Amino acid sequence: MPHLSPAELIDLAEGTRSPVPHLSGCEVCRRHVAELRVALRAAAAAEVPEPSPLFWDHLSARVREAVQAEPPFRRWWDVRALRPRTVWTVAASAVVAIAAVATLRAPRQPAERAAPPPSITAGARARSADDPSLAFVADLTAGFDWDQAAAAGLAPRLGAADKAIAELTDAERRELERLIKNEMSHPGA
Amino acid sequence: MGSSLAWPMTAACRSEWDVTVVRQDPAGADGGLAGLDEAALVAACLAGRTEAFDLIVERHRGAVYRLCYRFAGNHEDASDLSQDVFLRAYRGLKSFKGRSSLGTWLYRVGVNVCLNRAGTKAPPTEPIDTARHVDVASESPVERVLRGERAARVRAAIAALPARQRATLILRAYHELAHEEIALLLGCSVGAVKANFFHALGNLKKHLEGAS
Repeated sequence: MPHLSPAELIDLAEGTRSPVPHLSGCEVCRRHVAELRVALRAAAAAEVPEPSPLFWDHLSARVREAVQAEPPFRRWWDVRALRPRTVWTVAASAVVAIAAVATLRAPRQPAERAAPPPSITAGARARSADDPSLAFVADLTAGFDWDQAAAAGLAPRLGAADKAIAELTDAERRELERLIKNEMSHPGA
Repeated sequence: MGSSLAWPMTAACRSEWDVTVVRQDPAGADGGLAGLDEAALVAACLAGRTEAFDLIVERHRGAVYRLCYRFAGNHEDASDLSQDVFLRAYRGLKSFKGRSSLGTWLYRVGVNVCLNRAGTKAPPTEPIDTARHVDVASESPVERVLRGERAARVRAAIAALPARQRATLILRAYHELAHEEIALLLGCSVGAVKANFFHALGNLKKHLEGAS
């Protein structure tokens, strides 16, 4: 006949389970239950001696002192709670990300409109006095402004002069420089 | 005519004086924390109000001390263990989610501290000290001594139990925790808790019979 398990015997000894039919027919299990109840009563006799009334405040003071020596609680977003390496890694990544976004979003500077020569018509009028064909062109373009010339495709493309100069050889560049200096020192010559 | 050293206090106060002490502290010395429940106290602690933890200590120091005493068997070790329990509880306060009561959670911390400290070596128990026992007015001195002797023998027998049997017996017999709670604290099944309890009581009986 199988006996009751330790869990069942404990439940019976503590009174949390109603007596089972097996008990009435098993001396071994009845003895176990009785011995468990004796042990429970014996254990209850070992009360804890009450310490001195001063002990409790002393214990609280010691705990308070120990707690005050602890670092304060940190929130998860508090960078001071993170390891320094983690902080530097995050900061460096943020700088790189911001720089990349700023670069991609940087507006393109529009090419500066080439300023028209200050004396485009004045110079033309001065030279046209000698050349009838130039005089004819000067008369036709007397009322022309730069925007109308550019719209008609008569003005040079933006950056065309820069491009042309960049493609000059050294000898051509020196010759151009001489011509410009000569023109500036003797305008209309 | 000589002067008396025992100058009565009442003679220092004139009869026409009416001395009244008024304590202006509408929020209470604890800043209004006394009326907070456990969850609010824990939240106050985590917010930096260490006086909230003072209240937690005050409310649970008795139970924690008695738990530690049952493991340690003497006052000095129980005192050190109690302080350690509360300090570890403070450090781990963020992990308290409120799924159990704060007292049960403190028991868990306490059991872990006591089991880690006790190891496998049985702790020393205090000798009989009749002056430290609870004074029962109707008890004769002889009965008091006998009771003290029995208590000391039982404490020694409990101290000699294996760690998990000791923990199970202490939590069930003295702190009246449910088997399910003990299972959670010790990280085992309810059946294992009852089996441990069964063997603990059996070993306790053998120790007491052997001692007598």
